[in-house]
Amino acid sequence: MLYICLMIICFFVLMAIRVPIPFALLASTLVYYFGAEIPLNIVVVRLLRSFDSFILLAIPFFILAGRIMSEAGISDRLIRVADLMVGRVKGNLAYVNIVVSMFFGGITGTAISDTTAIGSILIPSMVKKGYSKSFSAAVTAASSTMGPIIPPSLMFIIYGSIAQVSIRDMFLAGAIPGLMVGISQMAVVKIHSLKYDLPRREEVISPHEAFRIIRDATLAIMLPVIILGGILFGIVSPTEAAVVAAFYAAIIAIFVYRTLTFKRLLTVIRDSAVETGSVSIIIAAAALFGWALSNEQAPQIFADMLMESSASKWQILLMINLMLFGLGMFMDSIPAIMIVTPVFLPLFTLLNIEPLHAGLFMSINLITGLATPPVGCCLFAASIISESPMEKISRAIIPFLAANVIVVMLVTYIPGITLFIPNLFK
Amino acid sequence: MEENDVHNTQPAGMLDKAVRVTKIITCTYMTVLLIVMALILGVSILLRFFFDQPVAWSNTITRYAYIHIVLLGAAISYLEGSHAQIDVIYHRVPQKMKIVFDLVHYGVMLFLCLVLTVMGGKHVLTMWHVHSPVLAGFPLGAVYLAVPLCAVVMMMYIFQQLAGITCRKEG
Repeated sequence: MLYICLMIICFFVLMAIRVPIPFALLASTLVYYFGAEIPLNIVVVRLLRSFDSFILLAIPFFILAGRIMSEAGISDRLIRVADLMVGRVKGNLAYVNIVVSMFFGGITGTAISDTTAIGSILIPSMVKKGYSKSFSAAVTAASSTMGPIIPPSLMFIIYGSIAQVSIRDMFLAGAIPGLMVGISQMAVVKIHSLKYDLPRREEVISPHEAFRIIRDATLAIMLPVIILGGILFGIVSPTEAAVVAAFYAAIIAIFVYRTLTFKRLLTVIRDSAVETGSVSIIIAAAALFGWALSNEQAPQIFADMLMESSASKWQILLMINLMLFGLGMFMDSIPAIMIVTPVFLPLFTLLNIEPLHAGLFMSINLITGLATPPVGCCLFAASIISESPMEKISRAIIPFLAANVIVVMLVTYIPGITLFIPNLFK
Repeated sequence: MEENDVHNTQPAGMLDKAVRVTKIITCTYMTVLLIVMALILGVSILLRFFFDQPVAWSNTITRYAYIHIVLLGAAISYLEGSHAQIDVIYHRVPQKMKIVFDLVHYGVMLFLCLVLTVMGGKHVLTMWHVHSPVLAGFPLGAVYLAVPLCAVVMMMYIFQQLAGITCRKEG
């Protein structure tokens, strides 16, 4: 157990001095291997075995599909369709920001690209219409955190592969919580628009124009429908769905929208391969770290310790949520879920919590961290785009974070919210 | 004095060039791998869908390609500084402390890369004579080759950065 403590301390020290998280995990695991005198050649075998899985092949293709769609300039089309849906209500651009993030999340699945792609168009428009810079940045950052939990989600694929949960069920289970996050953020906008008398859209969209807007965006919005439909009806596996999505996105971008050249596509493929490396290496590193923990039965000891305390089930869940919230403030959601899942799984078994349910509330909790100071990447991106200081945005985002926390609590304590749709399809 | 400068900058310049060339080659290789993976899986899906005859070896070969993409992609991400990392503390310490942080960081990374190169190299040699059960004649050592390759690419970058720190200190 001494070497496990040393390994954990080493991990935090290395992270503090800016060693990238996957390598901090790997290097600190070596401390355990040396201490416990485990042959080092096992490192290589375990490293490769951890991502030698067909289901994880979905990662590069979902990344590729998302990047192609971003490059194809779908943001503008999605914004127009969201504007049409929201209508001429008070604070319509703030609502548009949230609705478009839901679409964008379903297509690209990443929070930061949502903040930059949507924010660079919507934040200046919002400021021009009279919204404050900090509010515009806050609503952009908060709404883009939905991306990682709206199917198809990389976080769900990774969690599913560790916890042995069906990816299809994870995607289905994410639908209601994803909508709840969006609706809760719209409620915040509603209160804000009443309090500050936010502007509304002046122009009226004619039926002809509305038809054109819908026609222009339909092919992009069809992407998540194809993915989910294909998986749901058993036509394709999640990996095959990702491949189909990548081909679909490329065909749409090159031949229909004509916004992507073959030369640019090669750059997008190259960038997707590099991003695949940075996402997937965490899986391998966290698997090695997790193996060291389970070799010393650390997760079991942690679970027993919590169970033996006088805390009730809901108190333990609250503690877990607080821990995750704290972790999410300093760590990106994917490495965080990779590290905590093997630690918490035995505890969830003892508490009789379904891994599917646990995956959902952990994911929603961790995505909140993408928009919290001090290291929320979406917050940073929104701050740069809006040219508004972090302190101001950090204050403006508090109501949105509070709304997220309420959703986390509801999803944690009411399992039916997540399990309802997967149970319907069983 | 000028001669000294030439001596100081020549190895660093060569290292920069070596890192740049390695990056281009690695990225091209990864791009080709991802395209090949997409084509193989795409064809396999079509054959399964229309003829109920998927390509038997498609899963195996794409998994091997994925392993190479992940490890080499991780190395390139390290070169580009795009890995998930925490820099709140780093940005708040004085310049001298930053150099200490960097030295420890690269020292640890160098050690990690060394372990991966040696252990990975051993596995490559051991597994080179073991052939894939699905792909006749394909040496499994080729799959393991990604580990030392990843480590070597990162080591080159680390040496380049260490040379940069030395120049900063001398400056």
